[in-house]
Amino acid sequence: MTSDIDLGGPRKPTTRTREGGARSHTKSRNRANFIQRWALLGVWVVLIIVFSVIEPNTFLSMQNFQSLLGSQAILLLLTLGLMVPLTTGDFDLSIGSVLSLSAMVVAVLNAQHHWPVGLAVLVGIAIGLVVGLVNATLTVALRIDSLIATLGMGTVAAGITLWVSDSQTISGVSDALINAVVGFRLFGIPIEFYYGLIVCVALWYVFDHTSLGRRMLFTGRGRKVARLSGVNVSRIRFGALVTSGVLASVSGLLYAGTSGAANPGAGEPLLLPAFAAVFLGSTAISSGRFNPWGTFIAVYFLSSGITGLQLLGVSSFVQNLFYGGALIIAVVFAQLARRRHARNDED
Amino acid sequence: MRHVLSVEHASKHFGGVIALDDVSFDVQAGEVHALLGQNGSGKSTLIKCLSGYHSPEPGWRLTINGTKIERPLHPGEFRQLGMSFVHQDLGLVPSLSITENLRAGVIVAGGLSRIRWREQYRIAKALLDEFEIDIDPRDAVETLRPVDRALIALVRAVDELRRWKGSAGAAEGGVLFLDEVTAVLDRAGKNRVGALVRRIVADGAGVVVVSHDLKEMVDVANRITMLRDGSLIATVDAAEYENPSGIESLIELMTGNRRDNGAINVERRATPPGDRVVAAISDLTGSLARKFSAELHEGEVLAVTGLVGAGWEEIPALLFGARRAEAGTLTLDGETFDVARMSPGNAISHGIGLVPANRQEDGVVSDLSVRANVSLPVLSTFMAKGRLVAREERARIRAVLDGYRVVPPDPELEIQALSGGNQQKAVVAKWLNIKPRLLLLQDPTQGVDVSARERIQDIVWRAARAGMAVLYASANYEEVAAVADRVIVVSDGVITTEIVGADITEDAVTAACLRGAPSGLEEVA
Ligand SMILES: Nc1ncnc2c1ncn2[C@@H]1O[C@H](COP(=O)(O)OP(=O)(O)O)[C@@H](O)[C@H]1O
Ligand SMILES: [Mg+2]
Repeated sequence: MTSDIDLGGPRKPTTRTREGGARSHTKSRNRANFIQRWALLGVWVVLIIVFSVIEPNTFLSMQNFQSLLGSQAILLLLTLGLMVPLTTGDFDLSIGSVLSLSAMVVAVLNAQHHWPVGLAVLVGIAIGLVVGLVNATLTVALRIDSLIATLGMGTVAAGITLWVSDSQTISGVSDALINAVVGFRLFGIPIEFYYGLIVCVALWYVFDHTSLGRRMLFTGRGRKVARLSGVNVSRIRFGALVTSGVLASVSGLLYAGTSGAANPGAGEPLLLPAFAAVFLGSTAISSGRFNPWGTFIAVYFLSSGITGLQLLGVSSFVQNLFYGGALIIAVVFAQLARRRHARNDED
Repeated sequence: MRHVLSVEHASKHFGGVIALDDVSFDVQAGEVHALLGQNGSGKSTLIKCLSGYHSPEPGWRLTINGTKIERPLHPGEFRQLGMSFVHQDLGLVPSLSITENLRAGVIVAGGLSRIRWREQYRIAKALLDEFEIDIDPRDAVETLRPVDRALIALVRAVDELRRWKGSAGAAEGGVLFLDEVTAVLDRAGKNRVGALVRRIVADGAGVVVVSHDLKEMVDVANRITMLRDGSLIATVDAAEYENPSGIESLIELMTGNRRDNGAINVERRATPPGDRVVAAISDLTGSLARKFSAELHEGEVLAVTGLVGAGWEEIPALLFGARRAEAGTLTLDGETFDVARMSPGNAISHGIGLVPANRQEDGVVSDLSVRANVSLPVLSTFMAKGRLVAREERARIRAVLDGYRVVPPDPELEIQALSGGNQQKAVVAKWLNIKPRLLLLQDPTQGVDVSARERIQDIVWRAARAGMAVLYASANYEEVAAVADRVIVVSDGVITTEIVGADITEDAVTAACLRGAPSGLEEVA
């Protein structure tokens, strides 16, 4: 294609004139926006109260909370990574497999080949970097749909995981890594939670307080507008896919450190929860945008719900119901909100 | 001769606007009939009454292939009556093959019965062979050149008419309507389509063509019906205009030789632009424009215009790097750039701004705030110590919105909450806010109401006089006459006319565009 721009010329009349209107709606719209911003947080609090009343001894216990915050840090980090390319308009379906692969490589190098754990960790991160680079090259330079490119790369990564592990769970990861991930506690919460928190704060800073964040937003929402405004959209999309690859591999390290072992199928079941949480998170805080704090709340809202239900004795199929349902409901909500805006603009 | 189509007393009102006023005309079997008139003269409205898209006012009478009708047509009814329509967008599905496009009607009607692909290919091939179109019917339409796409759309319409003939048992007849189908084609393409049109009428059909290319119409048509402001002016024999002064006479017939609208820009022209050359474009070549060269002076509004598809419309996008140029240079305050290697980011950093034609696609992200939309190209100026200073951004953008009278001047509203005119003002403000040395505009008032249109013209004109150079590309000749200090007319990709100062009137611009190749007016080497 030689052109990225419509040259104009005749087309069906699109004139829409509407003055007034905008202001009379502001008040009710402000209230609606407020409710939407904080609804997810509110529902999370209600959920905690309900489970605490029903299961005061188990759910309400401090220990339960602390372990919940710690163990979900893996999903949090994976989800925050996914949020980055989604913001710039690309999918990354390879993150689950990258998690498995990086955890497995660390376990194999460290436990089986006795590499120093530091070196094994670097190789684990390098794997996320490489997968991210390949994803980005396929998507941005070769213009392959990100859905297809990352689906393919994810499957390749899953294959390599099975190959290097011989389809076995590999245990015996060095205590140094375990200590670095769950060895310390701050306010009773394992240190890995704070890793997730740091990434969350960093992304919030970039998204909300830098011009890079704004350019990422425009790249995802209106690629042509961004390009015509001087944004280097290729570089931004490239960077976003590399970021999600690296963060997925870091969450693989957390996984290896948390369990002291690597399981070849560790990451794939987290792909859907990650999508559910990002989309659900986009209905909160900065409503209508993928945003770190909404994502943070969504991850813990979903896992609290599941933990509570499991304590009630509901069997494990509930997890699928919960995550799948949340994804669909989140997307429906986002769509309805968009339509409400559109309707307001027509009258 | 027998007519295949006759329309009597067709009128159409839109609220208070009379778009079509008691128009009558007829088409003979075997005739190519051109429908001419300036933009807004009612050609498309007339055609849409015949396709059943619009309901004409009561009192019209339509005789089509022997059937008399005095009521509005139902949508889709035109098929049973033996009419077929091709519009500028051609109505082809680019990703499907030529065969699938050509045979769409038959294939879709087949329901669950097996499609005999080999037979469909054979039929498609036979059709292409018959009209001497040398393309493989298995190719996807998107791989075709524009001219071949137009030919395919025409062949499909002809095929539909034949099927109608078969089912109606008619020996001849059928009417094909072509509304600005050749607008984006070059001269050779237009000739190719013209040749196909002549073949179509050979077996007794009638063809009605709309085009602004007068040469093309005189060449291909038997008769010409001229509309002006919704009224019928005359139906004439095309042969009478096949002489050197024929085109001039047609232009006169079309514009009615009004000579009273030259005063629009008098106040503005009282303050002439400067002499210093700010930007020099040299040998710019794109996919339509060839070797375009021009100089822009400090404070000057230079308009580039022409018929749709003539090549002028790509010039802003080429200069900005939004569309890949084949060759050309741009010299800005003494610094020379290779336009073929320009990118938007590059252009902006050298002080070039582009207001794009399609606001929805290229101009704004409609569900983001006015502030975010307007500040995007200057975001880095709001960064301090690695942080975007939101307060400063908000204050600055509010001042910009106030300055350009964007209503309401609330930077936090989603930009889609603004009227089209105010959105466009915000887009113009966004680009003026980068303080460009050269501002490029592409049809900047498209889909904008009249008051906002005047406001935008005024903003652009004032900004120019404040010291920048402005290149204004538009096919709205009235607007061009109102805003430009100088007008360059492009026909078939090359500059044919330059109009300066007090000679710029809507009619002069219109005439120069219609005339195409220079005859009479000074030629620009
Ligand atoms: N749907 C519509 N609503 C209101 N006015 C219309 C509509 N369609 C066309 N018009 C007006 O009717 C007149 C004739 O337009 P049109 O038939 O499109 O002209 P042409 O095809 O000759 O350029 C113009 O003044 C135009 O603004
Ligand atoms: Mg028209």
